[in-house]
Parts: sequence; structure tokens; C-alpha cells
Amino acid sequence: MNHLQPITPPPRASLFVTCLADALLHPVAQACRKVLRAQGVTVDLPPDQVCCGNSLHKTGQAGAAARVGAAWVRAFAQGGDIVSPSGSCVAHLRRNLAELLSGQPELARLAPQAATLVGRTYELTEYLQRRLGLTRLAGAKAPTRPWVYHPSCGLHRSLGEDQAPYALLEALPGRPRLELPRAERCCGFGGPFSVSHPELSGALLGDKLAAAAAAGAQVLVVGDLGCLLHLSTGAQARESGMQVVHISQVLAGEVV
Amino acid sequence: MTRLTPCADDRQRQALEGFTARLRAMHAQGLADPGLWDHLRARARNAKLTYLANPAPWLDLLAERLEGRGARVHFAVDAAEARDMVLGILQQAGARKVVKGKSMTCEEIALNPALEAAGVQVSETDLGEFIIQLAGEPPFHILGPAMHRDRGQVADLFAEKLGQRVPAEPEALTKLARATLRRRFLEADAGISGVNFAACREGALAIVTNEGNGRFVTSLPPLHIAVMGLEKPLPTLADLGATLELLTRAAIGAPLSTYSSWLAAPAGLSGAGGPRQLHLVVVDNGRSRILGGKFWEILLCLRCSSCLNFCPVYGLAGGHAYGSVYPGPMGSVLSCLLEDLAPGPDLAQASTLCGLCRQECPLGIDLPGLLLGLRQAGTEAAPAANLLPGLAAQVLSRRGLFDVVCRLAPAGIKVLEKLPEALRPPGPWREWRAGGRALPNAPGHPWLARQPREDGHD
Repeated sequence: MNHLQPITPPPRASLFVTCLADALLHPVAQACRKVLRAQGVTVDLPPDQVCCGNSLHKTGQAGAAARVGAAWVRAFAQGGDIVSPSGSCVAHLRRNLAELLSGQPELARLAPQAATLVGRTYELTEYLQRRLGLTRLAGAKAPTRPWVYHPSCGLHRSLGEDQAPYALLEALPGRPRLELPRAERCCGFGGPFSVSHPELSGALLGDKLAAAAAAGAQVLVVGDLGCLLHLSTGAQARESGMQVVHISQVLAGEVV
Repeated sequence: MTRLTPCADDRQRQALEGFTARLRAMHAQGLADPGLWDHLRARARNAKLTYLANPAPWLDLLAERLEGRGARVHFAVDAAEARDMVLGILQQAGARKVVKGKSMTCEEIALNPALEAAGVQVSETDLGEFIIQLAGEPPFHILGPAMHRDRGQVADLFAEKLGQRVPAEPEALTKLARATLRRRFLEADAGISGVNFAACREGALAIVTNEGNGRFVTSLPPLHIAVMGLEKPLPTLADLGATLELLTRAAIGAPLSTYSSWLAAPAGLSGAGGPRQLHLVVVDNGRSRILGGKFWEILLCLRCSSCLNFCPVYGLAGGHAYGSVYPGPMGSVLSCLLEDLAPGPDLAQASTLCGLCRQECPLGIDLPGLLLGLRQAGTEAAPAANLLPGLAAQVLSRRGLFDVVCRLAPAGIKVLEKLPEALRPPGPWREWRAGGRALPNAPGHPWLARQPREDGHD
């Protein structure tokens, strides 16, 4: 039943929920903890965590992003593995955090600690597949209705994790994944782009929902949180009937 | 500030989709052998970096070699000086009729209007450029300047401007264009071309075309003026081989373009044909400034157009929406830098930063990173715009404050939803809805607030 390879000591990780899941996407936060626990991981929730500064950084606000990043470092200072459902945020932490802190005289002393922390920070599928070496997850099952996967840009390109999500999804018992045409094309979220260019953002959103529907899907599984918020509220406003869920919800066996 | 929107013209949108899809397929074919692709990328990048690390001595060498064979080399600091130089050369030779090869650098320095204002007749000879010159439009795409016009529109345009109606078939249209252009080639006093590469040590210019017009332009008229961006040269002819192959593989999926011309001297040296005068105008126009700053990486760009063809934003908006000579991801970066963040659409924001451009760029230019850097430069230049982000940073770095905002969110969203559209305060919620999205359901408390802090073992 349990495919977990014996690891001693048993794995333990801090969950970085992200501000988006914490404020608006509770089912994702719930699913992340559930899927980790199902694999025998002890999940800590550092209480002072809020945000990594990713979206502020994308608006070009280096100073503000550094201040938020500093708070992130303090919140996770206890060490150990850190796991997050957002590839975009993890990519931001790895690529930018230490540099952003170094750029602010009053925060520069936090940069070495930040570099250590982000070295042990993983996106969820990356953590499960690469860190724990798991492919068939306990408790995971495919959606029962026809489904496709949108390989989110943050996870698959910014972070460069183009393998783990597919490996985990291929191993799901139940209905196999349908191919999504032009899957690599962005859904149009893009952080600040979603509100700086609403017409283009909305048009790309429409294209993504249409591509999923054309593939015969009723469920659209996405790899990141911004896409989830964007596509799910878009499907709602357009009354498209497409169910949009995060990959963690599928891995937790919560999508029926 | 204006912003990019999806192209409203249905025919243009269809043409855009078809053209970029064809080029994406060719690009994929070009890099089918990953070993070769990686080899070419490494060679080209190395060559470009060697040159860009210190261009001055290489340029001196290039000039020395070319001038040693009777060519003349000129250095223009900015667009105005480049235009004046070209015009001066033409006037000195008494040239009134000019044929031109396709050149984005000439577009950049707005050469044609300046020449026409001085009474010089300019004929574009690349088929796409020929079409948009007749239409009086800027290029829509750096590789296919007229790709937004379908064959029916081109037939109508030819009938109107050339006075001859031919069937809306590629062959008939091309024949008409060719008949028109042949006369102009024969009558021309001078040819003006761009330059794709130069080999400094050997002193040679390379021009890559697919229609053969480039060879007419550079060999038939008695005077040839080549206009080259300062970033184009490579150290040696050996570097040129790999870089040229990389360009054509990335752009059209082939190991070589139909015509690759190598120019090293005016006629007379060997008694062979060709123009009696050869001039090279090297255009700086901000490139030295870019090279000295943190955005220098954009000078690696080969103009293959891969980033345009893969960009979801370019694919919907099309080239004219950018309002700049160079569109797409490379165009957004280069235009912001060349124009020193001039007004117009805020091109640094016109990207989802999805990263396809970086992935497909033959030189691996970090275009999303450059766009991010430009956004930062923009906010640093406008400190007043930092007020709201400063407030956001307070909320996003303090747990207590964040909790309060989460608890107040549902009430706030309810108020926003009840207000009539006109009374809603401006803010991101407006644009969120404008993109065809519902406002999210706020649970009314942060998730973390109701969780035990630590697991026991399950």
C-alpha cells in the first residue's frame, strides 16, 4: 500500500503555503499538507510566514520585494526542508532572493542565510519526486472525469522542473491524462500582466480554456497558483463549466 | 499610457497565427539534432562574447582590412548622423535612385523618409518590404515584414499602386513585383543593404537573403552602401560559419539561407564586376551605452525572430501594436534601451514572463530577466509609483497585518461587487474583471490561522 522508501530519520518539512493559497486558495493548502502527510512527511507550519515577494519583484519593485523576502527568511529561519505548492515562488526564491537582499544595505546581512534556506526549498512535485524519490504516491488518484494538465510557466520553465509533475501524473491510478494542444503556451496570468494587460491576459485565458475543452477535458489541472486563480475565476465568469484544480489536489486524491 | 491589446483585425490575426506557426515548426526542425544545436550555440555565443568584450580593436581591424581593399568605413554615433552620412555619400556620387535590401537597422534609423525628403527615390526590393513600402506601413515582423497582409490584400494593393491587376496567387504577384523591380535595379545609381555579420580579421561582410534581391542591390549599381549595427561583427570568418548556421536554423530551420553573400571589396581589385564604390556605415545609436550597462546581453541578438514566433503576447497583439521598430520580446527590450525608456506603450510590462523566448533563443538571451530589469529601472525612475507597493510590502511582511486584511477581504469584495461600475474605485480589481474573470471568493480568514502548528506523526 505504502510505496515510501525507508528514509531515516523520517522526512520532515516546513510548508510554505504562499500568500495566495493562505488568503484565497485554501483547498490547495489543505491538499499540500494532505499529500505530504500521506507519504509519511511530518509537516510544520512556521507561524510567521506570509509571502516571498515574487509578485512585487515582477512589478519591478526590488526594494519592496527585498523587504518581504527578508520577512520570509526570518519566518523560515529554523531550517530544514521547505516545500511550497508554487514553482513560480520557488524559482523566485532561488534565482533572486539572495541578490535582492544584497542590494539593500540594511538587509544584506541576511543574504547568506537566504542562500542556505533557498538551497533547501522545493516545489511540491520536485520535493516528492526528486527529494523523496517517489513516483507512485499513496492516496493519489486521477480525476474521474476527462482531464488535461497545463504545465505552468513558473514551474516548468522558470524553475525548470519539466519532469517531476509529468512523472507523478503518469503514475496516477485511474483515468489517463489527455494531451493538451500547445500545452507550453502561457495561460496569460503573468502576475502584474494579468491587470496591466487585461485584454491580452483574458484572450490567452480564453484560448487555454478552449484548448482544454477541444481536447475533450472537463477538468484542467494546472501546475501553479497564479494560473489556478486566473483560470478558475475566468472559467467561473465565462460559465465554461471547466473545473480548474491545482496539481496538489489531484496528488492528494481530492479531485473526483 | 497606452497598452498592447489583441489585434482587432481578423485577417491579420489569422495571418499572424499561420505565419508564426510555420516559423515555429521550421525552428523545431532546425534544432532537431540537439548535439549540433548545442555545439552551434556554444560557438556562436563564444564568438559574440569575444567581440562584445572589446569591440573597438576588432572594428579597427575590420575597417583596416576593408579600406585596404578600397572600401570606405564610417562610424555614426546616432541615427541622425547615420542618415546624414548615407545621404552625404549618395549626394557626393550624384545618386538619385536607390534600391534597398531588407534592413532592420535602416528601419531603426528611419533612413527612407530622410532620403525621400532629400529627393532621393528609394525602392525596397525585398518582397515583403516592397509590399509595406507601397502600403506606407512599418514592418509587422522582423523576418516577414508584410506577413499580416494576405494575398488578396496584396493583389488589391498592387492593382492600386502599380496599376496592374493580377490574380491573387503568389506566383502572379511575385512576377509582377519582379518585373517592376528589374527596371529599378537596372536604373539604380546606388544600392543600400543591411549587414548580418562581419568577419573582422578577414575584413568581410555577410548578407543573408532568401530572394536574391540582396545580390542585385550589392552588385549591380555602381555604389553600394552597407549599414551595420555596431554589435554585428564577429572576430573571424570561422566564427561566422557557426553563427550563420545557427541563425538560419533558428529562423527558417535550414542549415543555410538561399543566398549568403560575402563582400570584401569594391570592383576593380580583381577586375571583376561589382560596385565601383563600397561604403560601410557602422551605426552605434546607443549600442555602446547598452554594452556598458547591465542590459548588454540584448546585443547578442541575431534577429532570428524566434522570440516573436513563440511569444504568446506577440502572437495575439501583432507587430504594429508595439509601436516600435522592433516588436516582440527582443523588440521590447531593444526598443526600451535604444529609445532610453521613451513614452509609448510600456513595453517592459507587455510580457507574461512565461520564458518561452529564453528557451527558444539560439543565444539563450535571458529576455524575461532583461524585461524584469527594465521594470526595475522604470520604478526607480518614478519613486511616486512606489507608494502602493510599499504598502503591499508592509502587509506581506507582517503576519498580523496580513491576517487582518484576509478577514476584511470578503466585506471589501462585497462592496466592490455591489457598487455600480462607474462608482467603483480604480484599482487592480477593475482590470481583473476586465480580463473576463470573477473576483475570487475570499474565505474570510487566512488558512494558517486555523491550523495546528506542527504535526504529530501520523
